[in-house]
Amino acid sequence: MKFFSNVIDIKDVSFKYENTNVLENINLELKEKDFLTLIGPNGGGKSTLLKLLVGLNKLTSGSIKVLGNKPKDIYKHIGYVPQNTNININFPISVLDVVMMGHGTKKKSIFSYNKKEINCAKDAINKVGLNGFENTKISNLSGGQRQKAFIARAICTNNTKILFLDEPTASIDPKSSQDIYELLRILNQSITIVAVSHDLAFASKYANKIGYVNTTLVNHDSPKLSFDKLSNKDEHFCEIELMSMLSGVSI
Amino acid sequence: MMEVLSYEFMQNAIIGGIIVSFICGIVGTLVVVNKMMFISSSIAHSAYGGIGIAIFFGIPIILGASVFSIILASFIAYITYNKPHRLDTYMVFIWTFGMALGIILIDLSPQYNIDFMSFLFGSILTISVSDIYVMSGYLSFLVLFVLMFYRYIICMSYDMEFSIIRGMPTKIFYFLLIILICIAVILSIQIVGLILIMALFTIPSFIAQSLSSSLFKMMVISTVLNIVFVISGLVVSYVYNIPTGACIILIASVVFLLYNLVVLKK
Repeated sequence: MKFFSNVIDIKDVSFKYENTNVLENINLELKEKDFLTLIGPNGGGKSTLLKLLVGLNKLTSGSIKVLGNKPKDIYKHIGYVPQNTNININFPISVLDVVMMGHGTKKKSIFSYNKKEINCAKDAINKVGLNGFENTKISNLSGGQRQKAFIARAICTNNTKILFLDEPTASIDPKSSQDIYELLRILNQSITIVAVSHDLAFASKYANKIGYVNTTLVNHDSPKLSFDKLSNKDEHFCEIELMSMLSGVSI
Repeated sequence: MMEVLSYEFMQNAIIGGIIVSFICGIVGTLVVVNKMMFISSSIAHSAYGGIGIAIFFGIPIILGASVFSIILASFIAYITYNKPHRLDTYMVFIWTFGMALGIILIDLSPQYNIDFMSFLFGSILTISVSDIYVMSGYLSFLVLFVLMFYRYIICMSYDMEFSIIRGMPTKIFYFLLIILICIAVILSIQIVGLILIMALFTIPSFIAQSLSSSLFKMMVISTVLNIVFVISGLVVSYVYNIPTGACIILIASVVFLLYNLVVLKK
C-alpha cells in the first residue's frame, strides 16, 4: 500500500448522469478514525458520492484516493453495507454464509470455505452481537439483525480500514437503530466510518463530521455542538436549521 | 399402461424430460433468485426469430435458435448490466422483434411440413437420441460450472454491488449466466414450448425457495419438483390423450396454487 496522509482524499470531483450534474466540485479529506455522516435531501447525491468512494460509479472528473489508492485497488480494506432495500430478502442463505461473502473469492477453494475463513466469519458475527444466529436463514432475522449481519460481512476479513454504510438504519425500529449506532461507535475506535443517513440525531451524536450533500458538499466539524445548540427547539425545526446551516441557505 | 414404456419415443421422452428437469431446476433457481424472469421470458420468445431463420435458410433448428438467441441474450446482458433502468423497454423490444421476425420468415418459408406449433407448445414425444446427447452435454457443463463457481454465484446473486467491491469478475459472470439461461431455454423448448417454458423455470424454484436454507438445496428441491411435474404430466397426457406440454404446466400450476393456499393459511 502507498504512503498516505489522509484516509480519504477527494479533489474537485464531479459526476454527471446522462447530462445531469449529480455532483459538482466535491472536495473532502478524512483522517483515520473520522466518522463522517452524509446528509442532505433525496436525490442530492449522497448515495452517489458513497458509490464513487467505493468504486461502484466512475468519476466524470477529479480524483478520489482511499488509503492513497484508487478504491478498486484496495477493495480488501473497504467494507461496504448497502441499502437494506437492495437485497433479495427471500434468498435462501444462512447468516454465516452471508458473512463469509466478505472474504471474496480469491482463495484457493472457490466452492467451499476453509476453517480460517469460517472462524473469522464467526468472530465477526460475535462482534456484532449475532452469536447463536450463525445457521439461521437471513430472511428470518429482523431488519436490525439483518443490518448487523451485513456489518459483520463488511468487517469479517479483519483488514477493513474504512466502513461505508448506505442508510444503515432505514426501515429499522428506533431500538435497533440505537443498537446499530452503538455498534458503529465501537467499530469507530479502530475503523474510519462514512455513512449516508437521514437521521440527524445520529449524525449529531456519533459522527465527528457532517457533510451536507446537495450536488455540492459542505463540510462541518463537531456537529454535536451545532445540534446541541439547537436541541431545545422542536426536532423538525432543528433539522431544518441544521440543514440550513450546513447548506449555507438562510431560512 | 406399462407397455408404452417399451416404445423408444416414450423412453426418450422420459429420459429427456428428466434431463430437462435437472436443467430447469438449476437454471430456474438462478433465474428466480436473480429476479430474471422477464429476461428469460424475452429470450424464450425471441428464440422464435432464430427458429424462423433456421427454417428459412434450411439449417438445423436448434443451431439457428441457439445462435440467434445467444446474440440477443448478449445484447440483453450488456443492457441489463450497464443500463438497468432501461430494462423493460429493451426486453419488450427483444421479445417482439424475435417473434415478428420468426412469424415473417416462417410465413415466407416453403417448408410447410414442419409442425410450427411444436415450438410454441412443445413436443416432448419427438425427442430424439441426438437431442438427449446434446441435453446431457449441456447438463454436464452446467453442473461443472455451478460446482466450480458456487461461491461466485451465491455472492453475485445475493448482492451484486458487494461482489463488485470485493473485486469479483461480475461482468463476465453476468454474461455467462445470461448465456447459460439462454441455452437452457432453447433446450427446454422441446418439452413444453417457448410460450410455457417459464413455468418450468419459475414454479418449482419459487416453491423450493421457501423450503430451502441454501441455494444448493433450492436447486435440488426444484429439480425434484420438475421431475415430478414432467413425469406426471406425461402419464396424464398419455392416459387422457391430451397435449403433454400443457399437461405438465397445468399440474405445476395446480401444485403452485395449492402450495400458496397452504402457506397463506399458516
